[in-house]
Amino acid sequence: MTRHPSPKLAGFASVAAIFLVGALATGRPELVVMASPFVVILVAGLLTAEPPVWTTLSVDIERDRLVEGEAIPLDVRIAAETDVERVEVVLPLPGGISVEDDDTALAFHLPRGRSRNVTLRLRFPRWGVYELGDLYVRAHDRFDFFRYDDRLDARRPIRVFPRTETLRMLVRPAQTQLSTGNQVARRVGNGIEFAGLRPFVPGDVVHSIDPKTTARRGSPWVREHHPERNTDAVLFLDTFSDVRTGSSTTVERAVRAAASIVSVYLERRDRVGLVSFGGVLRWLMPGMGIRQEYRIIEALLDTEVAVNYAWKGIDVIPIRTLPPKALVLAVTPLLDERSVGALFDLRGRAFDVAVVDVSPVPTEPPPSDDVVSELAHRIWTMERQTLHRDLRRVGISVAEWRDGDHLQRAVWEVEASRRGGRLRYA
Amino acid sequence: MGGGSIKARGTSQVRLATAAAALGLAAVLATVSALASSDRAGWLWGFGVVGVLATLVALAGWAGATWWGVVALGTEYTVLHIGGGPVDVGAAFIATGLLLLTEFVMWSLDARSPVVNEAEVTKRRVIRLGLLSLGTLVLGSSLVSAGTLARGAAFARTVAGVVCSIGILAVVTWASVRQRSRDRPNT
Repeated sequence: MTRHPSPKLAGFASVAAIFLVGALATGRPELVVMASPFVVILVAGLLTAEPPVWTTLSVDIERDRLVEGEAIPLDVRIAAETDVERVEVVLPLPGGISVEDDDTALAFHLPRGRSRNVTLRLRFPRWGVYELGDLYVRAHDRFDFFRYDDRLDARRPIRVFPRTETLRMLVRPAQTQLSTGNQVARRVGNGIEFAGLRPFVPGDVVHSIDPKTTARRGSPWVREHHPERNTDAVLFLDTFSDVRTGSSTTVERAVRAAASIVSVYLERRDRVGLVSFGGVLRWLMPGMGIRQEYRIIEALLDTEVAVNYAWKGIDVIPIRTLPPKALVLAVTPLLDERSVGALFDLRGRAFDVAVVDVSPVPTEPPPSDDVVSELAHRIWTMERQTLHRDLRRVGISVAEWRDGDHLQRAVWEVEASRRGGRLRYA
Repeated sequence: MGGGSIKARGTSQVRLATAAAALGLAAVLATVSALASSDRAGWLWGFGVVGVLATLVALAGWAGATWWGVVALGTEYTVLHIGGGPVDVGAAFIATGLLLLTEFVMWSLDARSPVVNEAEVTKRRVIRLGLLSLGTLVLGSSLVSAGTLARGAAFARTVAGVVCSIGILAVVTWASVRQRSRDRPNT
C-alpha cells in the first residue's frame, strides 16, 4: 500500500499559513478567524488519518472461457478492520470489453468490520484472448488529506470463443480417405449405401447375392455398396486484409465461419487442418476429435491481421498441411492478390478447392446522389463478379457470404455449384 | 450504480452543481466585500476578480488555483478592514464561505473522475460539509467574541497569539510525525 498526500493537504496548510502570517503583518484578527477552520480541519485530519487495514481484498472471476456475446461477473470482495470514509475500486479494462452498467469505477463507504462485494458484469462482444488488468483500490481518509493506493492482481487471460452457427450441410470433398467416417465414398466396398448390382464372380461373398435379381435373371447376381469413409478438409483462412462491414469485420466473420465449419466437420469424424494465410503464416496439421477442435479454436483466437508487403505463395505452406485428396475450403474476402493467387495455384496443383467469399461489399449501397461513389461501387462489384467467374472457370466453387446472411446459405451455394446445380438452397 | 436500490446522481450533474455553487459563492464573497466600501473600490474589485477568476481556473481543472482564489477573496475582505475598528463579526461568515468554496471546488474536481459515487458517499459528504460549516461559524464567532472581549489588552493578545501559533505548529508537527509512524505495510 502506498500513501499519497492529497493536494488538499498542502492547500489547507498554505492558506492557513498565509492568513496567519497576514494577520501578524496587518494586525487584523479577521485573518485569524479566516485561518481558523483551515487550521482546525488540518489538525483534525492529521490526527484522525490512518491507513486502512484490509482484512479481505480479493477479486474473483466466474470462468475464463466463454462464448462471444456472453457476460461474466467479476466479484471484488473487500473488508477492513478500520472505518474507511471512501473506497474507490477501479478496474481498467482493455479495449473490446464492456461493463453492463458502464461503471468500471465505483466509490463507496466501508464501515469498520463490514465486508462489501462489488460485482461488475463484463461483456465480451468479440472473440479473442483478453487480458484483464490490475484492480486498483484507493482509500480516502475522513478529511481527504491522504489517499492510500493498493493494487490487486486481477490479470488473467480470458478466452472468448467465436459464436458458431448451426450448419446442416457442409461442402463435401470430392474424394474420401481410407479411414471409416460418415462420408459415402464413390468406390464400392463394404458399406450401407446401395451402389449397384453385377453378376456373381468367384470369390464374392455368398450373402451378398441378391435373391430377387438372381431369380429374375436365372444366374447369381450380387449387390454392391459404397463404403462410409472420412475426408480431409483444410480450412484456408485469409488474414491478409480486414474490412469493416456493418457491425463486424471480415476477419471476425471469417473466424466465426471457420469455427462453425470446423466443429461440424469434426463431429462427422473428418480430419480437419488449418492454414491461416496472411502477414503471419500459421498452420495446423489435419487431425480429428475434440482435441483438434480446441487446437483449431485456440489458433483462431490468435488470428489477427499483420501487415506484410512481401509476396507469399503456397510454397511457404508446409507440404504435410495439405494432404492429397483433401478439400481446401477457403474463407476469404478475396481482397488480397496473394491469397487469390494462392487459390489459383492450389487448384493448379489439382487440389479440390472451394471458396466462401466473406463479402467486404457494404450491405448498404452508396447514396444515389453521390455519382462517383456509386460508380466506384459498381466497378468494384463487377470486378468481384469477374473474379468469381475466373475462379469458377478453373473449377473452384465460390459463393458470396454477405454480412447478415446465414453461413448455411453460402455453404449450400458452394455445394450446389460443386454438384452441378442439383442441390437447392431451401 | 447506486447503493442498493438507490440510484446515484450522475457524475456530470454533481460536477456542474458543485461548480456552480463554488462559482456563485466566489462571486458573492467578492461582491459583498467590494460593495461594502467605496474608498478602496479598485483594490477590492481587483482582488475580487482575481478570486473569481482563480476559482474558474480551478474548476477548469487546475486544482492549485483554488488556494489563490481563497487567498485573494480573504485578502479582499481584509483590505476592506485595514485601518478599521474592532474585529468584524462578518469574518466568521467569510471564513465559512471560503471553506465551503474550497470544498465545492474539490468536490467538483473529484466528480471529473470516472468514479461513480454511491448515494451514501454523497450523503455523508453533504452532512460533513454541513457540520464543517456549522463548526466554522461557531469557531469564527467564538474567535470574534474573544477578540472583542480582549480589546485593549494588546500585550496580552500578542502573547496569546504567539502562544497559539507555537501551539499550532507543535500540533501540526506532532500530527505529521504520528501520521508517518502509522504508515505500515499492509496486506
